[in-house]
Amino acid sequence: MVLLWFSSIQRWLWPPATSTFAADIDALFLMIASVVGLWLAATLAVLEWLLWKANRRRRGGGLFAAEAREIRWIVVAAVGVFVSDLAIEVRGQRLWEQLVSAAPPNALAIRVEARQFAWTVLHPGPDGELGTTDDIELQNELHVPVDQTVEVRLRSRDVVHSFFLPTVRLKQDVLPGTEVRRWFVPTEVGTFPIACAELCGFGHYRMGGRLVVHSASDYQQWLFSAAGSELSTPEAGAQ
Amino acid sequence: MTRAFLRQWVFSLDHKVIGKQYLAIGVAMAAIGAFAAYIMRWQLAFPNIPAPLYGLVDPGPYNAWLTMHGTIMMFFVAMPILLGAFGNFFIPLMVGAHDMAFPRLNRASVWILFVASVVLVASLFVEEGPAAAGWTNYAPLSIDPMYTGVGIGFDLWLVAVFLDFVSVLLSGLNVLTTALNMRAPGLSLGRLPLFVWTQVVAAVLFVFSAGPLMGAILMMLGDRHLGTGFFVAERGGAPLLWQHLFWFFGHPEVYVILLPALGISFEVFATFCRRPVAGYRWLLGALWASAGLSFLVWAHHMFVSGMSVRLALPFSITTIIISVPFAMVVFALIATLRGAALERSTAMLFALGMLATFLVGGVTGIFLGSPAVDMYLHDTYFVVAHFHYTLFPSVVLGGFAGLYYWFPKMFGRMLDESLGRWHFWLTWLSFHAVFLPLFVAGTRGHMRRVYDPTQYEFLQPLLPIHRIATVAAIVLLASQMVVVWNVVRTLWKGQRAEGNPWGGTTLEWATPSPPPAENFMRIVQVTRAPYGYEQTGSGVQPLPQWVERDAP
Repeated sequence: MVLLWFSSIQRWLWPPATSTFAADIDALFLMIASVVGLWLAATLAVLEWLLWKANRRRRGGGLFAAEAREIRWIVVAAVGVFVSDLAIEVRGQRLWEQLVSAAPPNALAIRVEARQFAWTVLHPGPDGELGTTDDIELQNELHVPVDQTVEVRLRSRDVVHSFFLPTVRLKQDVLPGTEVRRWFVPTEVGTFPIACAELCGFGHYRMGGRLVVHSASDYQQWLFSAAGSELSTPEAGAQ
Repeated sequence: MTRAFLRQWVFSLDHKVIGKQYLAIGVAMAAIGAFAAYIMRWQLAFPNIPAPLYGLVDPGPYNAWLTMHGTIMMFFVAMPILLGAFGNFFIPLMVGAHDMAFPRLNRASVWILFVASVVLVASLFVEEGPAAAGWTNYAPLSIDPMYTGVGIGFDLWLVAVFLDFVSVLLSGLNVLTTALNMRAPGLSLGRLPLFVWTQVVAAVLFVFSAGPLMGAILMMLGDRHLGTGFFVAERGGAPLLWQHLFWFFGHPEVYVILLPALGISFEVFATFCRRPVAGYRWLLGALWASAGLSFLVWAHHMFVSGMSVRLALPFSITTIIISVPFAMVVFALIATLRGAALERSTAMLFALGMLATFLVGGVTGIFLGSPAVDMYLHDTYFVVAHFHYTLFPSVVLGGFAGLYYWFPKMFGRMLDESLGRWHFWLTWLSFHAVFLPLFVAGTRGHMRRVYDPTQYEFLQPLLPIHRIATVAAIVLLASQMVVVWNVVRTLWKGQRAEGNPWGGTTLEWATPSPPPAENFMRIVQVTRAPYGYEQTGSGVQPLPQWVERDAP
């Protein structure tokens, strides 16, 4: 029952989760939601209760008593908030450390260069190395194999953009003059959105793209056909 | 005739006239800011259908309107009304002074604000359009015209904001001096009404945080015209530097706006609960603690900006810890209802509505203060909904609580209470109908500042959310006609107000309504703390803070 409720709320609240981190971020969100939700509900309940009592007392007058007791309430509640904060902080910090850690050495490195208003994605070719002649350059399309660690190396040619993969739960601003690296592991095969999340000019709203996650065998096929089509026309490639 | 007019309005040094002028500027700018909101909301719900009263919204102007909405509401509505209007009008009254400490400086402040407003509004009419990089004005989008097609619009924006800050800085110094040096005999700091305290803390916050951004504005003007490169990577600068300087100011700014609104609700709570605000000294501690912490949280706006990921930990800790003093403020307000002999009034409704609404804004900030969750929610509608849940209760609900509470004192007539109740419920319910759905748009990954969301396949199912929010926003804006009508009718033929119509205990109620030119006819001697009430045979009666005596 609880599980059913959980999964339905999940479908309603979030896009599908298609990376190893996505479920962790959603779970942290729900943890925070339950802690602050309890506080919110309790606080509103006390507010309503006191209002109801004060309303009945209207005109009769009761005046307050015992300020020391009120202060004790306030301090106890503040300590409670502090403890809840700590719990959220400790759990959140562990996840953040993972999210922004350096990629494992076997990661597939892909360069994403943002400009107004498109993403230029440079995939390593069949040799698995970036910066060699068999690299595959695509506009607004990022192809990756499933269950493989992917490191995106983000650069901007002009203004600040933000590389956003909603189903992966990854978002990273892309800065001119600095390369920022983030990594993720896609866990589902399919086509998912890429979006720009930082206002970057009048075409910001159409700076979208596609994240294509292939199965391992499909990826090899795509790799060779994409690289092949580039290699078969070397003159075009040279230009 | 002209002379009298000039003397009474243009050169008047009376803090009450100046306060009303701040109010007029704030309200006029709010109308423009509201129109900007309407254009944005229309385009989001009905993309590519011409907006009534405006026409087809294009992507460039859309970005300009969203920039204007934020800039106007923060700098030209919230600060002029909460600090300028209520601060100017009531700080001298509440400390028992005949005017602000520096009346000429005060006159200069309001004129500088007026010029700043004219500069900003003028930018709407220049050929390439006004600034279009959001109210945060991130570099380098705001620097090189080739990125936006906007030229002088950005310069006018920078000049307008700079002048606005000059105005608020001068008035902040005035507030500090007045509150510290102009107090009536017997009014020790420990007896100062909480509204005055919140204005003092806000003034300190502004005075200490505005400098870096004012410097940054000059640096950006240099980048735009003198070939300097503070924020331009190719010229050896750092785009992130602007973000740091902006948010070093930008976060305290939120508290500059929030604190006076809280101050209003303290006054309103005490008066209509007929008892002191719970824990006066603890509240003061909490206000100063949150003010101090607000200088140390700015980079929580930048978790995914590309700054060092090591910085996330300290800023996340300070951000989450700041909920402790705010929790104390909220609990103190709630505890004030204990044993209250509640008087119903529109002002109290708005103050209660502010408290309940702000709670939602506060707790949703915890999600964004956690960097891992922020990685997903940053720059989505979750953020938009969150900060509207903090700023709308402060500026609009808090501002209206102040208006309904102090209107009799400012204008000498009583606003109609039943129209007031209609106004409250329409405003409050339609606000929730706009912004509650936007939290869901945010968790579904909907980025903010997107001109046409239907361009993204995954956002297309969210169109109904935009439609609900837009219809509710139109209702919200239309509901404000109720208060406009109420004010117009009251000024024309409303019931005249006595000196202390609500049974308040602080010094502004020691004067007639409206107060005469020098405020107090006789010397007021303060004899007790504010918010005293006593039980008598005929109910709970106020124990005013003052006794009057004749000048020696």
